[in-house]
Amino acid sequence: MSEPITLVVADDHALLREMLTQRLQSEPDLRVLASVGNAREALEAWLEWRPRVLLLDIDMPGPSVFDVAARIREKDAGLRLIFLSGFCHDHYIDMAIQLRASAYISKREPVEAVISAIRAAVAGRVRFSPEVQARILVDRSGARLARQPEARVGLLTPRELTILGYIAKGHAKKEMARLCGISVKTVEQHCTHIMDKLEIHDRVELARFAIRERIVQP
Amino acid sequence: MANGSTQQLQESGVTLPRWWFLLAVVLTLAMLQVIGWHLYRSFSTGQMIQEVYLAGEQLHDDFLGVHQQASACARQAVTGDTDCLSHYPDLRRELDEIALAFFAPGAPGAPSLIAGEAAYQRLRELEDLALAQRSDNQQEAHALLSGDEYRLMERALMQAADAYVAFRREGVRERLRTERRAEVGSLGVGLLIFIVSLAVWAELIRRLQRWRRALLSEVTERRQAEAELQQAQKVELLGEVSGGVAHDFNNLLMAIEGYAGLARATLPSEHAGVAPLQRLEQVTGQARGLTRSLLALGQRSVARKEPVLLGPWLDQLSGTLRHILPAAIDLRLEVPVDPELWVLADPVQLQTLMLNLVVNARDAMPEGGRLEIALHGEGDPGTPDAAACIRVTDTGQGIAPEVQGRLFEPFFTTKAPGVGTGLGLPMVRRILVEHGGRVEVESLPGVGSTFTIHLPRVGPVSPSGSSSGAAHPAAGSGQLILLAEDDVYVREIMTTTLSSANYDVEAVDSGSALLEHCRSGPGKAALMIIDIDLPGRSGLDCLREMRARGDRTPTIMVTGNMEPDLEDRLDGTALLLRKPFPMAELVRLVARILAGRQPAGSVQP
Repeated sequence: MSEPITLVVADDHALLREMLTQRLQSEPDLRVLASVGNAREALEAWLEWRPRVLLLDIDMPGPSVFDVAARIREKDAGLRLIFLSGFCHDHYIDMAIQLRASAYISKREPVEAVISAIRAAVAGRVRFSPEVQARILVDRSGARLARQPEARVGLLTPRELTILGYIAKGHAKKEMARLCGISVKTVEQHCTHIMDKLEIHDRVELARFAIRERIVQP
Repeated sequence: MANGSTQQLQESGVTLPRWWFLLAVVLTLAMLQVIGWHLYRSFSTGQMIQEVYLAGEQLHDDFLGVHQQASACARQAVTGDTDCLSHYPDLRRELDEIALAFFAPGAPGAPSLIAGEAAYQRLRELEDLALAQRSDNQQEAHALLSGDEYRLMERALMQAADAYVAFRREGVRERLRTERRAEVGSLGVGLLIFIVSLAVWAELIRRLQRWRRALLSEVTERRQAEAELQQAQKVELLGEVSGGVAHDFNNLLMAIEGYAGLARATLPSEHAGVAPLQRLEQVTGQARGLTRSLLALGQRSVARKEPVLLGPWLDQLSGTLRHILPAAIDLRLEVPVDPELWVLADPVQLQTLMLNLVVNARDAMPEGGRLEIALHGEGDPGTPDAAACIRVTDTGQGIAPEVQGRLFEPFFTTKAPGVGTGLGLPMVRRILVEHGGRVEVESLPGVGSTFTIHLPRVGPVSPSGSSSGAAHPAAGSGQLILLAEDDVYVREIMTTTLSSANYDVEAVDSGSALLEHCRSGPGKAALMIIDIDLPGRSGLDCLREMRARGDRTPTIMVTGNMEPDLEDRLDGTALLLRKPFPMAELVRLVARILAGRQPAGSVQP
């Protein structure tokens, strides 16, 4: 039998914490090393036990859970962080994602959701609600939560923007190739990529899009 | 408040008419000055004319009077009256002095006075001659003073004096005529200023009234806004309280559910206690549903706004609405196809809002009736006040006027205990506040109610204008995606997301691992997602090598650094995706590329 997944549980609500501990302990592959009532104690428990998974309630008295989690994250990149909360604020979820949390679970979900998230986290999966997952934005420094709908024009590369401008102006592919100093085949590839990214498959619609997004002047 | 009001009034184009007030005052002062000057001038000129006239009359009377005395005195002296002889020189001096003023050079009436002066001189000469001859020939001397020449000269002098007086009178009359003209002129100017001043005062009063009306309306609006703010604060406070209660209650429910699960797990499946424990878990599940309403009132959910085309959205929603309406209620939808009414809204919250309004309408029509949902636009698209309006009208019992003011108060309900929570309309208002909208209520007891919601309208949005906010659809059918990403967390997120979309994902963390994977099973992957900045061999190197080996697997290259020549180096052999990008877009692109059309990057450079 493989090593059990070691855990530290932190929740200020004693009844819930005890239930969680008992429930998790009842799973053969999970082992709760400590259960604590605030973020400071969570830090101490992590220092003492070095668990694989840290299960943290977001709203606890004392120091900020996110501050403490950030300090722990600096020292242990491999630790699986799972946040548990009664609130689903964008801000909290964004903080959790920036701390590279494996899951953000609402307390409205059954305990089974917590257990499956722990197992998924250890298996290298993340678990957020499908809506949140669709909004996770991969950027240069990692991941964060997209706040506003990102315009699709942002997906286009500079060369694609140039080609889109030429399409809107009605240039032929040969002309575009000459202007960009690339082959006609490559121009065709760029056109395909633009259409894929924008989900527009008509030159007239592409021209309209370019004018609307001010890539070219009407 | 006054400053703020003034500023807002100025913004709305209504300003305090300060300049008009100043102009009116200046014109009034000018008018008063003109009238004052005119009165003063009339008075002083009249006095002056009177003085000139009287002076002329006086001089005339004095001159003739002293002449008569001197003439009589000369006659008496000729007859031997020594007193008169001695008195005559004094009278002559006096007469000469008066004559000097009477015949002063440049005096008015010069032509007739020249003749008069000559006559005067001749009379004095005759008198001097008579006095000189008095001792030699008294009779001849007397004849000089009573002869024809003397009388002729006296008559000429009289005529000159009369002409003098007549001339002075004519001068006064001319002066009066000139003054009258000047008076008419100045009065005309005064009248003109008076008319302009009246017009300016009228305009000032009109503007002041307009300003007053605007101020009153501003004050009313402000009071209304303050009342709304107080209401909103009340809702917020209650929301916080109820949210806090619901949060703690949720914790308890989770614990109860957990313990029930634990207890059930310890019992054999055929044990009599299992069924009650399962029921307990079901009941806690229902209790969670109840707390959800309380939480929704006080907190913001993860929901987000996206462009929604209201017409089709309402059409779609009507299906759901029909399910909650009894057959006795006739649901009518009035949704024009044109113009397209787009709003930026959270469809889930919008649905909650509509459900609340429709449930209220349903409860207001226990005997059945008609429920109309109509959509229309207000204002010109593109202007700040452009709105999309959804009107929900029922033919129910209506709302009593005294209750209408409390409709949006949390926990206020007219429904029977257990039917209404008093949270529906506060939630409607909260959702609208979040969306920058508002709600209007019109109701007549016994006739029905109309709730009109106004949402800020946005310009037409094509489906490609922004990414969809919905979770990605399960687009895949188990195709293998080879993912090369060195950032473990990003790799996990991408793997999980693509797996959720029903793709099989194999993930590697370096260029060499990627190449190794491709060598061991070329062509297995349906698509590759490669981060360009891989440790060891870069993603670009890997792609080149694979393409050189004839591997035409469609590829998405992910990059955070957009080097200028990167696209040239890639030469269209893979789709280049710039960071940042949302997961939903990645899933969509993968689905598109795998949808069966010409695969991305399948051409040889």
